[in-house]
Amino acid sequence: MKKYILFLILSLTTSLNAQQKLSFSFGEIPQNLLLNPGAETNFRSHYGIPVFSNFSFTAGFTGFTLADLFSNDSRDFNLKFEEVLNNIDSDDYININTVIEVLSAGFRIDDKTYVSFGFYEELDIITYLPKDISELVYYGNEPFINRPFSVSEIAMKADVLGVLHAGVSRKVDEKLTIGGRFKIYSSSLNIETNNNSGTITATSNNTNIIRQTLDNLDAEIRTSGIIDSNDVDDEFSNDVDDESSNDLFSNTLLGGNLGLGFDVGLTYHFSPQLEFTGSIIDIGFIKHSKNIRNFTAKGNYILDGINFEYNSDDPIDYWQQLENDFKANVPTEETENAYTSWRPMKINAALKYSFGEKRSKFCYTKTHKQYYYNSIGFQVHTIMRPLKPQFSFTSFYEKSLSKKIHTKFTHTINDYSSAIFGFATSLQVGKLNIFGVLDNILAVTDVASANNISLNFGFNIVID
Amino acid sequence: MRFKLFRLQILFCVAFFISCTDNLNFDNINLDLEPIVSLPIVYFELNQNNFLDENDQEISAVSDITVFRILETTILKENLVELKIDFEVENRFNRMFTVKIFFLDNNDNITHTVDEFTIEAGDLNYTATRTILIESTPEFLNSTRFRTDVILLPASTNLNPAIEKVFKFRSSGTYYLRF
Repeated sequence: MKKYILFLILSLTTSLNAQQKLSFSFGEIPQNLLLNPGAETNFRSHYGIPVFSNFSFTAGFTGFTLADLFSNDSRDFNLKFEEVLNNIDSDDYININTVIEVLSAGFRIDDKTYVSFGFYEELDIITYLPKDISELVYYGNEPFINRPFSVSEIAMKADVLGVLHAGVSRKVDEKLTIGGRFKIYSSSLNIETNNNSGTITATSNNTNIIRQTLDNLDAEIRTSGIIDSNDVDDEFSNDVDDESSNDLFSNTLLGGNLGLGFDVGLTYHFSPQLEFTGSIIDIGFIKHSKNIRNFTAKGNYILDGINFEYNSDDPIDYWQQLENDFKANVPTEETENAYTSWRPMKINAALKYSFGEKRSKFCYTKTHKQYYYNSIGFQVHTIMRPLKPQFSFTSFYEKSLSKKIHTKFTHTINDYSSAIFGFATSLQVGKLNIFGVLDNILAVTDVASANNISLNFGFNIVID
Repeated sequence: MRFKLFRLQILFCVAFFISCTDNLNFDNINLDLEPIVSLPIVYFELNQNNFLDENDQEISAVSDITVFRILETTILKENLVELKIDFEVENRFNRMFTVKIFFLDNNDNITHTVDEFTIEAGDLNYTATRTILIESTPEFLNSTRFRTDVILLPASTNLNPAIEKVFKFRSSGTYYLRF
């Protein structure tokens, strides 16, 4: 009993960076169906323990580590910040993702067909680090006369959404299993900005000592869910309306902006020992048409200051003239135009070769399947992000310690590091399936110096 | 089975409880943001006719004024610690000039007088810098107008309207901020 309570406690702990993809093509945990709808399932049904069936939290960043900024030493924080600012480039990013599986269940229709469904909430934020603008804000423009600062580096995407899904896994024959999952997205919040252009430059030796130039500015930020279009401004009320914050998660169940998507996947056995699994996840979009606020700014502008004309007969309101001139050349607009945003598509693929001692397992009392105790292979994972796809390549060794305990050892190369060693395990304790993933084992004793480390647990009732 | 399960428990406990974050310190996060921003202020070009009336009599001084709302922004009002104003003058007159600069508030009260400077006749590369420390001149933050007086100093020879002369004035402000 104490052992299970301990696992329960452990499962409540969030992690720095949980990578669900480590469990791709691993064991027969029900969560595999979310990573690959064409995963083989050999159980009769499963029921996720609400909220605890799959809880993960990710916070990854490139270009710097926590230790770079928050190391416990006597160095001035500004100095550390400046070193980080100097070392990052505009391809570096901060990524936060959290998924809470609220409801998850599945059941077998017949020997070949397994249906699963559920609902999860997701928070996904990626922001690239705009080095130019960050240096401009931190240092000002005075140290950088004649250097253009690019606005194009500003790119970010943030989503809070709920996903209602239902999928089917179908065994076509002994070699091939295919599957698909249909998803309804309900976006509660979306903020995105990308494909911006333009530069800000201070130059010398022009009409005036300093000239400030805004060149080819074309910037847009789209938002939905930040402002409630139904709110009525009450000039007599001093209360801050905070209902919108409460609606943030209540709108994730068919209450916000809706969209559709699907996943596809397959498992194919070239031979009893050689298996390929592949999937494409989140091929979908969300149509944002409610609670929209978009902001755009476009144009060119040169500021040389105010040109005194010393004409007392016809005095000029110089400042108003300056403001009018700026607004005419760099018009800004606030709109409520609907827009479509695409979900970040993920592609997974794995090739696995099994060997060694074989075992048999009875599945849902009618068939049995042969498994090997050992497997080696590699898998690739790609996620389409605003600026460019992110890749990771993992080689792995799987070992079944028994019929009910499966382990997986991994080595991953990705944006964060080329030496990420991970460990995953799946335990069947009676009807309770417990899975756990620990990535970047080497960084466990020094989390501060890691760009990513993951720890992810889940509980499911699996009935064979 | 029991022994293997126990091993895994130990592994997970170790992962959590010996995970070393003692070498991090989140208490002394003290980021001093002190950007320095340079922006143009005023520029102009005056010729001999600016200092002559319709009867070709010399006008001793000309003045112009502009609204100056930059200090009304919260960012500057709350975080400006120093303003350094640079001046560059090209004086092609054969006469001396004095330039006086005033900052005023909405009621035309002077909030700050910049120390005047005198440009020699024919000085093509005159430069000057004036510094305003907010701590000692807090009323400067109430400035909403900027006025420039250009004074033609007396001389033995008068201006000739037919002889082209030019007086070029350029100025920029360097704003030292602290957040």
